[in-house]
Amino acid sequence: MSEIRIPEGLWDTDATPEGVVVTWFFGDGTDVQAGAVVAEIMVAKTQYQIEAPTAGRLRIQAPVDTVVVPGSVIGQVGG
Amino acid sequence: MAQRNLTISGAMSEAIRQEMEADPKVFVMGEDVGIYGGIFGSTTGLYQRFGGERVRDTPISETGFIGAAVGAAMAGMRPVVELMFVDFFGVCMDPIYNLAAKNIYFAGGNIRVPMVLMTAVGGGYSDGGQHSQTLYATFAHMPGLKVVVPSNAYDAKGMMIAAIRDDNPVMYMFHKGLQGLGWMASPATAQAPVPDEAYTVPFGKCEVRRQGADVTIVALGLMVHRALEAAVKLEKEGIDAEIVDLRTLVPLDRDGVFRSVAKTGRLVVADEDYVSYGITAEIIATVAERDARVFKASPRRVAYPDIPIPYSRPMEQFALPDADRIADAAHAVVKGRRGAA
Repeated sequence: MSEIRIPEGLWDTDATPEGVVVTWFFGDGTDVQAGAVVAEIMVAKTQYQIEAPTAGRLRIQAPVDTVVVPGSVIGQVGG
Repeated sequence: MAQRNLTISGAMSEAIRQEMEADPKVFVMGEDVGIYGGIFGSTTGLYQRFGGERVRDTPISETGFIGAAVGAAMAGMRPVVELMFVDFFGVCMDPIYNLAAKNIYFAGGNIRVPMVLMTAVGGGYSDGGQHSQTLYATFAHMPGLKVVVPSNAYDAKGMMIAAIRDDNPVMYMFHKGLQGLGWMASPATAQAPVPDEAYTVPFGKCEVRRQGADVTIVALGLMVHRALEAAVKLEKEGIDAEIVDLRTLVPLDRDGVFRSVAKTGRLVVADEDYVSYGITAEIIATVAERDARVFKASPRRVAYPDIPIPYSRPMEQFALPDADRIADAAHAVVKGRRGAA
């Protein structure tokens, strides 16, 4: 199992403290490849794509509309 | 591996990217299409991939850059230009109506105008009367333009690729409320599995999104999703609705619409554009002219009232066609009572 984590420093949190999960591109429990764009985070009006760190089965932990910050774990990929 | 459920914005930018990779004549122009990636996400990542020569940020001069796109298309390029909000058409109607729409005809077919004019449509998020219209009929009315309105990500990609490869000017009208942008709620049904490879969705073919026996609800764009919500309500009342997604207004699949109404005998048309002189009347006329005897009841229109779109949220939400209004109209058509159009 590896964590899908929003990278530190992804956006300027002094300007905008929080973002929100707007899209999951695969259903919970589907197999994804390493590097696949699995989710999108919206911060103000800018979107950031979040990739799967490894290949494996996707577990969604932060559903759409969850408020997140850099460092938040939004899901897992693995066996 | 499972297919990705893309958003419409992701499907659009992927389609443009693949066509730009396949054909050096394809390029993009518009306001904030470059570094910003399109304010509705339709060109995200293209500037970083292709650079400023092929993804050109323009000044706020629609007359200038849409006119330039017509010229570039006539000279052999395949421009994709974005009119940021369809409501801004007023300043650039001459290049659209008199140049793009008519030059192939004026040239006796000796010149092609292979351009895509993509534009964001629709309201529901309190952006005021000059940022919230759909104006589908305004463009479908004028001969010479193809007009397409994707309702989901699969169609969005296939229709964008078909539009870019088309030798005629294509108005590609995408609804802001389907883009999956986060700051504007998008129905989950707009996301769809999208193949990685390039493919086209042919123009002029409507799609039955839900099979039903009692009433046909014809819709387009966001209203397809509102109609699907209405069908769930109607099912609880024992009414089985068939949902027809027009997908393209020009060409219009009149056969497909008639086929569905001939089956159900009843028709409701749902449209976010203004009610008078609009798509809804065209659909009803299509069936009535072919054979009005298929109607078991008078058809109904559910569309935007003939008023400027209010900024005030409660006022705008009151005026917008929604699932309840569509369900009420369908109920009235089937049961012969309840709800005014």
